[in-house]
Amino acid sequence: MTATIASEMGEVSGGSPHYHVLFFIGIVLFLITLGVNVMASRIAFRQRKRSERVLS
Amino acid sequence: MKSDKLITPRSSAYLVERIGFSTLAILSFLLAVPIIGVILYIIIHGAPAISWEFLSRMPSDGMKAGGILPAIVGTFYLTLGTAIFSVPLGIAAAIYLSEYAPENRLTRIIRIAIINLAGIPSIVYGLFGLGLFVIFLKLGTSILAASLTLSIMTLPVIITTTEESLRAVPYAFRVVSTSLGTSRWQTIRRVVLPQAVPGILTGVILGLERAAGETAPILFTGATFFLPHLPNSPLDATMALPYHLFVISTQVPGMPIQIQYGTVLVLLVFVLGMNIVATVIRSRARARRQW
Repeated sequence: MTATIASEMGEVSGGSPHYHVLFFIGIVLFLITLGVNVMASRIAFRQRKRSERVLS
Repeated sequence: MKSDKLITPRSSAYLVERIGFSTLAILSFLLAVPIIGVILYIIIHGAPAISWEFLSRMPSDGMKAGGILPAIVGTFYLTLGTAIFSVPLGIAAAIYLSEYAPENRLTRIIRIAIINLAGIPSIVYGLFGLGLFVIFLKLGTSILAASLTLSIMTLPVIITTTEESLRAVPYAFRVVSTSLGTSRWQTIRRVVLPQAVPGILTGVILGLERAAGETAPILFTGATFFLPHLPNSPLDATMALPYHLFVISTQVPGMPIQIQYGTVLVLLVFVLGMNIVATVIRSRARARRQW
């Protein structure tokens, strides 16, 4: 997906459907990393809360 | 000595431990092999191309001859521009997060945003920069737009490392300083920040080094295929080492292999040099530290 954006962005005209699709790919990539990160931080946060409970 | 005697009666456990440890040690040494291999390979192939002409001339003959001066200068400008935008902002954000910010929902959201910023693929930064800086703010493909894009990418590195080094300053320093009647900002400015400077510098250099080596974010925002002169304003497009490398190794047919490896070597020296500076600063500070 990253390579698609990189290789095709130079060849599309601004404003065409192809151009918008490339931006859409960017959004999808962003959402994937966002999802993974939110999940990871949620796990870490829950773990910390539990350890605080155990310690206190 | 004593612990050895305690373990030896159960020699099988001792043996298993020895085997385990040596496997781990071998594995961690193996980590260094690819790095050393890459560096040696590049140096062997790239060194013959390096000459004063190569470093100080414009490319000529469709880049198949001449030097790579505009790419070197361009990478330098981009790194400088990135530093101008990202260092003050990153350090300010880190000071707020580590010294002032209360632990609440908003802070947590900021933290998630920073972590997430660090994980985004670099090409998405390129798209974002194209949309915001190049098209919406009408900066065009320019050093300015590329530096801003690279700054956003560098920010999370600078923020997290600065925050870590601020947090590493012992809490007692702050308590003592405050008990002498200083304000919170005076404490931070005179006590905490000076102690954290080496750590902050390391973070800044590591962040900038990443910015110097990136191709994808500058692909649409500031890099250009060829420039007959050096960029003379921040609104000019520029050549840059990583992008130049990408171009000459994929887009130019019949490119002399020597020039490619020479370019790689220059980029490697640039990035590795920054890395070594960071390491030296850190180890010196660690030796001098008294807490």
